Amino acid sequence: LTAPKHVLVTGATGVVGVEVANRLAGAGHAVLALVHRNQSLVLNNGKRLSTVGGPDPAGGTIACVRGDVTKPRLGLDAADYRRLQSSIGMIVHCAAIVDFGRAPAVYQSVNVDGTAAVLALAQAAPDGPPPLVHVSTAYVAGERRGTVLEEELDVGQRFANAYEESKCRAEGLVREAVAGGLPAAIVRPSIVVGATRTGAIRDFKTIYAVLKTLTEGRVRSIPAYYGATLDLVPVDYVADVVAHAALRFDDAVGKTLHAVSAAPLTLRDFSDVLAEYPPFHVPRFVPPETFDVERLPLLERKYYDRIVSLYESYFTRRVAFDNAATLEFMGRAPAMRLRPFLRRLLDYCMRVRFLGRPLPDVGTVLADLHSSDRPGGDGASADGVVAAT
Amino acid sequence: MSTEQTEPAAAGTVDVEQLRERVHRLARAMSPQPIDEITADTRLVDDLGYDSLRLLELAIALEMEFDLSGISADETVSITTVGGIEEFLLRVLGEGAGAP
Repeated sequence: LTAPKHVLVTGATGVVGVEVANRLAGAGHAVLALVHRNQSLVLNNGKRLSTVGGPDPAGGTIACVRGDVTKPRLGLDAADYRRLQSSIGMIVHCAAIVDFGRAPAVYQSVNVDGTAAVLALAQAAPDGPPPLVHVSTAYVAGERRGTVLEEELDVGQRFANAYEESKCRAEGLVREAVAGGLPAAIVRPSIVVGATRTGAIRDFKTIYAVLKTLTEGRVRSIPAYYGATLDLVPVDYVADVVAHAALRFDDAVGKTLHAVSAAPLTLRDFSDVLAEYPPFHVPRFVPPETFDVERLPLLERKYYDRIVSLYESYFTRRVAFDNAATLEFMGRAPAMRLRPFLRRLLDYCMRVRFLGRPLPDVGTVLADLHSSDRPGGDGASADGVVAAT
Repeated sequence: MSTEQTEPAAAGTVDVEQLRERVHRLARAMSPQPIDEITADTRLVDDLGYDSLRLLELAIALEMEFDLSGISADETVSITTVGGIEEFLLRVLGEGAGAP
């Protein structure tokens, strides 16, 4: 008799990874959670997952393995690496940098080289490669317009940023490995946001930073089309698709699954729903042809460059992610209708005071600091800041 | 670059005490959860309540206060304490002053 094999989940502290690890352990699997620095696993609802020590968790439990997908042998010593390799019966690869605006080398190292390292782990396993569930993104489609099919990857599209390009190359590596005999399924979430029933989200990143910048009036106009679409998908649905792909791998193998919303929101939907909230500024959408970033006031320009510009391309795209294979595999799309779901997300943000109670902006803070300086101090630069806001 | 009205940081004349004082005041003023006692070891996220977005705003504030151009997102991520800001500023202000 051999011991039941473990499921290795990379990126297990991430908002999707931790939910997947929890679902797999709940289904009775012994989960090895590959974690980088942060060793605590916190679910999207804020509850901490209990973990067990040691490299050999029992079924239904989770043990953390400290490692790093950017290091040789995942940062493990040779003996630990070999033991891991022979003990895992499946890999769920969630580790990725999803923030925008980082240096290209960061995306290369984590998203591309990290995926290559996970593939190398699988391919050299002594009993043959274990099944792999690879978490990609629907935005490997880059700046494609129209309908994107699940089986399509590289059709010569342009990418808006290093993140999209890195995830496309990572998925390309997985597909090459599949051609070489690795059994794999690929899940492509769109923009991961709060939970279906509560709207709750553990980390306010990516789209939430843009939402805050816009609704607090830090940036008041953006180049955008009302008809552009943003695909927001609840985190629980994404975790369900990834976990199902692992738990029902025989059905999922060879498939690429778009874990996306039932239908994308248009920026018109966004604009209308934001206008229902009295504390919110609603950004003015300017046709991109006439938008000139140089005409923004200095401080607004800084907010724009640092936060909003990273998403600029998303405000002009009209894209739909076909999810026929996912609907067949899961039997369902995310349950909420679009506008009610957006309201639920915003209500949660208001309730936990992420939105609706802005802190003073940079101009106000600097002006206050300098107005309390002694006369003849830094007053002149404070005036410059006030004039810029 | 030419609009800065505060004392320029010439090579070798960066007033470390004054810079520290300005950084502490700014980190406190921008903080979501200001605390009275700020030291070099004060952590931006755990002690002062900064989230990723407020850290970006802090970077903007530092750029404007110290007349810097573009603190990168990677630099923002790598600075975790008030002392880290001081070290970063001493480095870039020193470099800027050393340039021809």
